[in-house]
Amino acid sequence: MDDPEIRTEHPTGTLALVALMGVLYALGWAAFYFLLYLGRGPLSP
Amino acid sequence: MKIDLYERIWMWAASALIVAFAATIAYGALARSYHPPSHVETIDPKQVWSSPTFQPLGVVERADGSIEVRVIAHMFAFQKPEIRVPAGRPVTFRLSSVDVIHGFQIVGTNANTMVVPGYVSEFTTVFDRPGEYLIVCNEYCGLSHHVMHAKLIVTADGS
Repeated sequence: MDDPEIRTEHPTGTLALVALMGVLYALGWAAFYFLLYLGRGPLSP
Repeated sequence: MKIDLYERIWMWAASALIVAFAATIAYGALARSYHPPSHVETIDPKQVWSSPTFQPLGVVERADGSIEVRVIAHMFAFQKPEIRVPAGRPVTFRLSSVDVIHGFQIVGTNANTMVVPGYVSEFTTVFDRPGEYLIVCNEYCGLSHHVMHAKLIVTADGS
């Protein structure tokens, strides 16, 4: 019985999906920060 | 030392995130004057109701023309329950608690502070949009915490 094929290269498709989620998260975070948080005006002590 | 390409990518990405978050904090604080409430002033919780700094309660116009709002938090209400301030003018909130830790959050704005017994919480902000805002206690303070709220009315006419 042959050994199953062992793949040693990185899973680039998975990495691309993770990167896409990261970009979407960053864009969402930036939108909340600049449009909502900064748009509401400052608070000073 | 050889570092794998993907390991390097993750390291640079993590470093970039740290730099980006630190930059936003610096930008907000230095360029836009966004600061967390950090006023330090102590007061005896037993004396809050009779303290001259909280009499009268509610909205007071200072000698320099600025607006001061004095609020006492207790289980399970804010005094006063309705606050009316003008839009476009700096408003300084001064708050204290007579019993346990409460929260004071004006929903839909960045106004949000803890109200700790023994301390006076203070922050200043400007409300640009007239309207009614809900004020809630966002620190669990007891069985009826969920009913602890007040109303802020921002008027457009400057009154």
